Amino acid sequence: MHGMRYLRWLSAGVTAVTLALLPAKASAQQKAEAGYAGSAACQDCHKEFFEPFAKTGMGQAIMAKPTSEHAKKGCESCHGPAKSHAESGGEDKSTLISYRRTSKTPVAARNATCLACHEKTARTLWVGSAHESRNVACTDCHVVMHDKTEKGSLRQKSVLATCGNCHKEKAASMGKYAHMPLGEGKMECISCHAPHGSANEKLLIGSSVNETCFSCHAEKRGPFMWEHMPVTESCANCHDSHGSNKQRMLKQALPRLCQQCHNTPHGQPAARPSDAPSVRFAYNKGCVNCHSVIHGSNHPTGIFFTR
Amino acid sequence: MRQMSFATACVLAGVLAVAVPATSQAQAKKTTGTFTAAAEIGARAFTTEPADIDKGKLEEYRSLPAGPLLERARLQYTPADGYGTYQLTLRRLGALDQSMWLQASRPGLYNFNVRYDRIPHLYSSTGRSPGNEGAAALGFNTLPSPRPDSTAWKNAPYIGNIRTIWTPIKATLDYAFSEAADFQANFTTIGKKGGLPKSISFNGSGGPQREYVSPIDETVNNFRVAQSYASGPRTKANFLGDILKSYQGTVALEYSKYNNAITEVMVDNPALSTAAWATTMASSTIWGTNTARVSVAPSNSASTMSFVGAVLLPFRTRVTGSLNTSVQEQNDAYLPQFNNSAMLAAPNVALTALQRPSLQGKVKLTTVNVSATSHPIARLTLGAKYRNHSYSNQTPPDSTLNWARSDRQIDATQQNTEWDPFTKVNTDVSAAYELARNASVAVGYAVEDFTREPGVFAVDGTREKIPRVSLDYSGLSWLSLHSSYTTSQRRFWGHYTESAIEVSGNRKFFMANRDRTRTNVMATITPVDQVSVGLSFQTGDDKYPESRFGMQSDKSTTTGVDIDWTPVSRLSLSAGYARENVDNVTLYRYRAVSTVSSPLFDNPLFYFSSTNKDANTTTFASVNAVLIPDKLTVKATVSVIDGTFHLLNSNYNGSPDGAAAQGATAAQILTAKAEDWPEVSSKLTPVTLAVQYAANANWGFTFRYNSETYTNHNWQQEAPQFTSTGLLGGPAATTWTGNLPGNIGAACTTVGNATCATGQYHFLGNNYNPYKAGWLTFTVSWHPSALPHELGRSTF
Repeated sequence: MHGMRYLRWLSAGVTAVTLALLPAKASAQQKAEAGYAGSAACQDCHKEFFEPFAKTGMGQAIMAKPTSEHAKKGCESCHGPAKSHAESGGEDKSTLISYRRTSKTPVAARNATCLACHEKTARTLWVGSAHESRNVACTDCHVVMHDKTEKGSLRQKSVLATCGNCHKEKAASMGKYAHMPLGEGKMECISCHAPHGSANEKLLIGSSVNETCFSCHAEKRGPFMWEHMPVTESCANCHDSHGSNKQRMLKQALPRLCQQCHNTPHGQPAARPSDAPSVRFAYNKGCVNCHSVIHGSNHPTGIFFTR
Repeated sequence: MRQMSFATACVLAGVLAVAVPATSQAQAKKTTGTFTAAAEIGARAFTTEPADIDKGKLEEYRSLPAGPLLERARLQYTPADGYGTYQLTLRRLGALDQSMWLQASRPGLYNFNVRYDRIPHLYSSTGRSPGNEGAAALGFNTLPSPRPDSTAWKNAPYIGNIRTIWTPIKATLDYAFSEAADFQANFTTIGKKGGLPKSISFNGSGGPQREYVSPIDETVNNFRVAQSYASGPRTKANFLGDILKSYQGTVALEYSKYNNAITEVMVDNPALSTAAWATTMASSTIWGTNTARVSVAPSNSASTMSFVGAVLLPFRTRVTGSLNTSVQEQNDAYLPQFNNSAMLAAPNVALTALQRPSLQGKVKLTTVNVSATSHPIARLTLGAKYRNHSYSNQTPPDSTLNWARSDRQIDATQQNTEWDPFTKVNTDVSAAYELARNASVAVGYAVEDFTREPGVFAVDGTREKIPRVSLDYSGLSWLSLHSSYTTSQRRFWGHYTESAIEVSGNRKFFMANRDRTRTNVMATITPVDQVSVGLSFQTGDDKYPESRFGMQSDKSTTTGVDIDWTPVSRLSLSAGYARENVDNVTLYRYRAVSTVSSPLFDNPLFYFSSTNKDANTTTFASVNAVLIPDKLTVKATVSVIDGTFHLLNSNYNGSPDGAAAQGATAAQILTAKAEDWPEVSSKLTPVTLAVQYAANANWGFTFRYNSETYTNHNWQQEAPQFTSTGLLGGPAATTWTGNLPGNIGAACTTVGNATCATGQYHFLGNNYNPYKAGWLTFTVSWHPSALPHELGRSTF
């Protein structure tokens, strides 16, 4: 059976390589090696864009003091060669790169223009990332012609609002009973996630869920003398970091959360909270009333996380 | 002190900014550059102010004091060449949630940022205690001696807000040596000070148990440097010819140090003021320590190195690889096993000596990623990913020959440390095809292998197979659509011999066999330019088909709609609605004993199911109307954020409730009878109405009214009044009487301690009381266009 599986993999690989060696069509950009008109020509008709753009960081980098050959093309460094467009009185748009949602320029080509300058650091892993593979355009989240946000040239007023434009359920979760302080402006989605691509799961900034959480909650990092296995594996086993209507962003109410794994005699009476002996199990923090160092203990008697 | 110094520097800079004469701040261009200052000051007054005890949720992460306020301020320097940004920004200066940041940047060359924040984390405002809670310097939580009785606990004064203030400072420098090389350095320090409600049981689950204020004095320091290189399009021919189109790489080093200035917390036993111990240990509260020692998180560190590289090959083939390796260490001195002076007389006390003075803890994390994407034909994208993440605990084994159980008893059993190393391997292949302009369909297949060595519980590892399909379309001017469907199967493997007292078939939810589906549809419809409608629909369905007990199913549905309407340029309206429903079902069995031969051990009459029903609804509406262009604007928002959960419990074996199972007494049957939990709900309704008037370019005025109504019903945080606890007399009649007052449960016996008349369970609440608050804020803005953007839920 294993041999068959590897054969299938091999055939798929051969097919992929064969496909890769097929000649690709000339790209639109290759066809568009037409002449450049220069930014002054653009200003003749598109004057209203110049002043707000000049105030932006990108406007300064392109229009005021371009530091690269690419940037020295001014407007055309992003919008493509515009000579034929200018000479046709604006009629010929075949060589232009447009960033409107309904643009005829494929998303990948639009993004490639941005990456020509912004491929370093955070964007190194853009290609192949979750957002890139779903045809998300840079301009779906960013606007560059005027400053709308404090930083990041975002399309919405905040990172949360920008991400929430698509991830509505996550944005709504921030209003739940237990949440992190995103709504208060003290955190952002990018405190944990790398939207431009990450080698890690869920576009996290850390190599795992835990490594991401530890950047602020380093007290949970350990290693401890007594480990709690689900904690070691993933904080997300018990917590919903986007918000929960249970205390401490737990996925389940206590003690049910613990009882999913611990079907022990002394943990079960909470079936009936009106039973007085259930107080210690059902009320306040449930199991954690006694097992207070549930994330791990370095106390020699802490094997059951009570010390 | 460091944070104070920084704050002082920022304040001085801000004062300097405001003190610069207005005439010199006008944006007249000078050869030496231009300073621009802006500030917003004003005052806040409550129309309806909640009592301090009720402000818990209102000020959970923020501060809303009445009185004068400096809401926002900025000093900005624009160089003579107009190139670059240099600014100091202040927000809510002097408040518990103040923030300041400094930015200096020259686009394309460097970007330097320092940001200072304070973030309150308020946990409870309803706690009472007759003792001295959280004397932070020593970490002692002391009670009077003799111990207070029940009445004293009930009538004890409120502790006040129990909260921790986080003070993060983050400094970032990005410097571009050249078009190809970038350097980045980050330093983050987070100070955490204050208190946190924590619990301790002195003798075991039977009590006494007490929630106390754990003092917090912690610092997290993270330092990271990274160097990136991007070749850009390569044009020179070399031995790789045209194959290597471009390449990028990043090397990063990171060091993280967590320091806890407090190594332990001493907590007084509410039942005993004198340590007691006897050769024959009865399960009673009369034996044990008068003061217990609790560990707090030990200081630790982590060193991480990472390499990321990417190459662009023909056919837009991009291959990316990364290696991340991290070592985490912890070596704080062990605490003594127990704190019961009377227990020193125990015969086996010598065997409680520890094997070594500290853990010498060391964990190694390694993550390897390789991914590739290619476009063999213009419309086709092929992708493949591989990821290996391993957690290896390399701490030398340790053990205690005898161990102290809750400062009351020495168990003559050896306890050995156990580590839980694991490896998670993810592989993924995908193909996406562009059907038409801005319309693509993608399929993918992923496998996740999770291996634990040695296996834990009944599982050595799991394999999850995850096929998926997605469709993305934005080809029409009025429609943008993203949709995806994922289905997966997770199966465990491994040989495991369960012990006699373990529950057969109780699979842990995170490693049980699971069948999962996820559906996600998201659309943006723009029928006319003035209207935009966003729709989202998501479902999740998890089934645990072979788990006899534990999680059985978990279903969720989320629907959302947003509407933006701009009928005229001066008026914009928005409204939205999102609703999430979650239903999950778990099965349990009640075990009154752990004795295998007992008829109570596995009695189906005692089985019960628990169905958790969550319902979360968020509704909002806002309006922004420009009544006089460039002069008068009115803004209003209202939101209703409603969340509930309800646990419905029932014995599911079909037997009539209350019927006696074989071998069980009526009392035992009654104890095992499942009943529904009361519903838990919370509802927040924030309303904001603001009028903004711009007198001219230099002056603006804002008059804002905020109101918030918060309701909260959580029986777990409220005190039950048991009018009957007799199990033989039928179900206990229970009423809820308000916040947990610090006294629940039967009083302990007075044997061995004359003052042992206190209850066995004492809580600080961990609760947020309902509140209704209204406040007015009037601010004057100077150079409003230069102010930082408003942020946070008390503003727009």
